[in-house]
Amino acid sequence: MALISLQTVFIAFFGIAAIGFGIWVFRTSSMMRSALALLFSQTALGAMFLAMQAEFLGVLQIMMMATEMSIMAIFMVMFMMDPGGLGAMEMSHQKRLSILAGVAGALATAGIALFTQWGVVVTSAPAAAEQTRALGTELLGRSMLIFETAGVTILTAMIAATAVALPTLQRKRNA
Amino acid sequence: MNTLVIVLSLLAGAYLVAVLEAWLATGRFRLAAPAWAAVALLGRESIVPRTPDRIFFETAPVLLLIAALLAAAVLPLSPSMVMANLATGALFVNAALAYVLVALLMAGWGSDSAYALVGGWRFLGQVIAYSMLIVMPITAVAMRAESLLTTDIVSSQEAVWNILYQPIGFVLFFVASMAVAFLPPFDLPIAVGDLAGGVEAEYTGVRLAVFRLGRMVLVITLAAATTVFYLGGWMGPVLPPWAWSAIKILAVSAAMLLGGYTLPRIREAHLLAWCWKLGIPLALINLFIVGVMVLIWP
Amino acid sequence: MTVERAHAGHARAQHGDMPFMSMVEVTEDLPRSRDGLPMEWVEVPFGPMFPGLPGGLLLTLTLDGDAVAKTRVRSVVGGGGVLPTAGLSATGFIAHLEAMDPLAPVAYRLLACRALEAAAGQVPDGEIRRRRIAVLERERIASHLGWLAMLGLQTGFAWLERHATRMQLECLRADLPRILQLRSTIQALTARLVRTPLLRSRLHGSGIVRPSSDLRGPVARAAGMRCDARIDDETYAALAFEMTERQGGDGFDRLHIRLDEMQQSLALIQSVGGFAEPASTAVGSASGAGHASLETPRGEAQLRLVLESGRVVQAQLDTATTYHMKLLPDLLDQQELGDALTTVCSLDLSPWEVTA
Repeated sequence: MALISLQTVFIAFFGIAAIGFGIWVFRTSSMMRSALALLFSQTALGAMFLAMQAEFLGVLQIMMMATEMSIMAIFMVMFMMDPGGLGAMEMSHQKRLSILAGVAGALATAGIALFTQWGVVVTSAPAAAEQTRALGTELLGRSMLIFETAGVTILTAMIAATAVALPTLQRKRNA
Repeated sequence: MNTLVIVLSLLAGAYLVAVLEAWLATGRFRLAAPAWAAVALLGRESIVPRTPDRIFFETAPVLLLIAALLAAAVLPLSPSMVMANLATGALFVNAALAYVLVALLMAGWGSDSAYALVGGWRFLGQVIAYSMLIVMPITAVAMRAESLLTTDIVSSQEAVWNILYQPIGFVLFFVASMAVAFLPPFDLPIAVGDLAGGVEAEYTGVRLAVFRLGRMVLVITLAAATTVFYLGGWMGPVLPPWAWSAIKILAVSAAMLLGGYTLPRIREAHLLAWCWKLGIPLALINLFIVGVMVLIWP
Repeated sequence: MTVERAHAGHARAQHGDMPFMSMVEVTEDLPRSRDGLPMEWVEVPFGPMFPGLPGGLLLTLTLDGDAVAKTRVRSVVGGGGVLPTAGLSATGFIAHLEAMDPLAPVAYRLLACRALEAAAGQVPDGEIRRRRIAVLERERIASHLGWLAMLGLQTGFAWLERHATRMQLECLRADLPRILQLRSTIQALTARLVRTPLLRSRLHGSGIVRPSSDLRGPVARAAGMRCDARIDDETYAALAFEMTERQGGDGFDRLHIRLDEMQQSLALIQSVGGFAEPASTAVGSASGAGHASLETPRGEAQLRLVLESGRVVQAQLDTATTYHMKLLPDLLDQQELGDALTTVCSLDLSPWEVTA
């Protein structure tokens, strides 16, 4: 009982932290702060996974978000007009629509959580190594074709986009 | 208890790395040099630049130290001496090291200085160059061990160490580790000759001391990772396991520092070109070779 | 420096009251980079005390990302060659010129002596001329070693920085046997630098200069120009001096030229076999105009002076760095920041000898 309540405390803590950082994303007008707030919000989600004993997913989330959000930060700084946030720019747009979308999203998520038949709830989470193995089997078994296709497509798109943008190639073509 | 011992030995290791760095820089071997340097830094006024992003500026050095310590938490010094033997240990090392980038980015942006800003973005620009060369060799190591547990990875090298089993992976991992710890010749984000200190440029006093400590712990952590993944961890004859770990870790960190001492800094464009065009294909070839070898001679 | 503030000011000035800031409008009057991306440019000072750059050189780079978009360069310690209006006595003038450039005091002292002797119509003894050359060549070795140390600092090559600094200190006041002992050390240094991985790739292709009338000294010789004040000097001719040259004109060629020149200077010193510091000349109350030129470690320097009853009343100096500094804006354009600074370092500028 004590352990479960400790777990609940951690889950709640990281959940609130995730929401708090999420709010900060829109409360600041600095692009850099906004991007990093999103990063730490996602990291808190990763920590929540860890608290829920989903070790692999948690560590993966924590790892991927650090680099992804950092890369997003540089693009935000590059392409936004006031990255330092000294102009006190408003970070939220189309308020009515976003409030509606947010409420609808929250209701849908809650609905899925409440009305799905989740099957028999196990008393304790499987060991971490077992989870990793199960996840691997899922990804490389049933869903392998989907993931591989998606992965190769994205990679091809990235390489092609880079190749198109290379000025040396353009120069050669023009010459 | 275990945690305390490991943290203390990490700090001791970081101290020895600092001694070695001072030795290379000044040509004199003085055991007390880092202690005096630390005292000098602590006694100095800790100046804050004019209009910093205060939160980032204060958080960055601490985050660097925490990232390095977290990565070290899953690395075993002996079969029992490991802070957290996670089932996803090898992946966790990557996850923790990713926050080195975040720390440098925060320091670069928070200082509100052009030198620091360029230094921070430089490190971000290199991220794919070095992080791919960390992740892919670790994947090959985990393939052989058939586990992400760091203790299992060490035991998998019982017959032959990974440095011989997958030498390409070792070279890539070693070089990429130096780039993660921004050691010379990859010290682009804190280059003295290019950026007068880069992300470090605006830090003084206590904050600089924490930043430097974080970097030294990072060097030790990466050397420990190299030892665990490629040099058979604690294994070795006669001496107790922890002693072998210590010897190997110090030797690897000395090799990392010495390499940078005898080389000029690499050009930014060349680092990217070599990592993308040579390093990543080599890492993939390494994965393939190890995959085949695991099947025929585990 | 204040990237953010520049941004904010920009945004406020034009779009402060707009509800939604349009990317196109905000960036429409920003300077365009070569790659077509409109970005905020940052003006960053490098110097006058920047590690790896000569002290006293103020380089202001306008950075577009980490590429150099504009360069302004100025010496904050130059103009030291200007004479006081009342003129100077001969000894005073020699001391004045010697103190002008702390990076090559002997060369300027010798230049002053030669110009004064030419004005007064004196011709020093052949042996003295030879021994003065030996002192000049010793300074050339020391200066090139100092440059190597600076290159080591700029490129983060700690070993080179330490060893070159130590050798330079040894060389500065060395007597004949000591300096000849340096020979094997310098040979070993040359052999090692040529084989050092990454050094070639760092310097190769950086700051390529094409032959032009603005080049002097090692920079010109690395670009394949026969440009050396020593080839016309009969004292050098008698010592069988031959000029070294290379064709590429990049940083790596300049490194090679300077390494070769150190060996060559050692050979010259050996065949002279003794030093004679250029001493103050007794010009008495002579009057006349004199002209002298010599090859300082950075290239040819020329001095014209007018002597009136033993006092120097007019002097005009022409130095290598004055020309080389003008090369920088074109040379650094669009280079990556690190490459640009290596290029500046590889030119071996001395802000002290800038005359304008």
